[in-house]
Amino acid sequence: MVNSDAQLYTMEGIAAGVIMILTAYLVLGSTSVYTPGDTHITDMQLEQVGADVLKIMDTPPDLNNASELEKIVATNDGARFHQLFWETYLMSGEIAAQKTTRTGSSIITNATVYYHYTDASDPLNPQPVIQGYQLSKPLIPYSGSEPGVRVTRYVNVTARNTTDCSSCCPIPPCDPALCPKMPATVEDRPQVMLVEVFMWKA
Amino acid sequence: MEGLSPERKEEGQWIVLMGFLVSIGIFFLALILSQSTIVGQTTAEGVLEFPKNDLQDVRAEIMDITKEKSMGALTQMQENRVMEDIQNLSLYRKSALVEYRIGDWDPGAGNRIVTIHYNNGVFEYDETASVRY
Repeated sequence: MVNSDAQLYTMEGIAAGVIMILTAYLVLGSTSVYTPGDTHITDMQLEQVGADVLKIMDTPPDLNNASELEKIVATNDGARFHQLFWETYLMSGEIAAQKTTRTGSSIITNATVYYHYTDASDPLNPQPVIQGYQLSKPLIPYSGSEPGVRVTRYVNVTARNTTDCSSCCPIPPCDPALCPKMPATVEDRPQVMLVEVFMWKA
Repeated sequence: MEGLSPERKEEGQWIVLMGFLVSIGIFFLALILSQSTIVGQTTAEGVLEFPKNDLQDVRAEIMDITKEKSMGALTQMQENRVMEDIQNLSLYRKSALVEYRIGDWDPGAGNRIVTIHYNNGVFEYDETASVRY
């Protein structure tokens, strides 16, 4: 007697085989391992937040006033920079309330100011020089292995030594002599400086 | 399955069929899931590569200088030095070529023309702006 039992078994076998192959293919394809090398998603978020914070700090309250960032650079006030950038904006609100210390698992920042001057030691061949000085130090040194991002902002500086020291001295009358000073190679003229903030998660 | 009646045998086939349907559904969900990480990664890479913040910053700075120039706060010498600052800092710290030119005030048209050129090797940006100050 001829029946179709064997054919059904064959079809079932083929179906099972297809399911197993598809499962293996999809399981291997759908899981992606998130390695430290692929932290672009969090890097992008950190970079955007950092750039926004610098933009807020470089926005003056009105057209007749300098922005906070300009005042900080003019008086070389690293403590004020850290207070504004890190405590007020980056770790604002609830996060700041939970993280009262600068250490621990959080974002570490290092701020450097770069400036341009002309080295005229050879008068026939003056050379442009880019030099930087540290504005705000990180509490934990950068180990070199954490993924970090760099955000920058150009800042207008009117002169080397400012007479406005309201940002580094909260209680008037202020003495500009008490403010930290810029390095001696900074030229005394209206100029543009670059504030560079390097941020990483420690 | 010796003791089972023919009706009970058919029930087993339904269970197998439903198993097929459920597994096909899971396949599709896994397909969608596998796309999400790739999409997030490529989007983030695209955002990181595009120098949006640098462009906005350079542009704002040039407009600021234009304003200072029109207010008479900068001499021609100082303006040239500021341009050297921006060009050198962009080139050495941001690896971007920035050139700009602030045109003279046109009393007839009531504006001045500011041209900006930016190129960081990946993106090139050119702008000719009419500024009313």
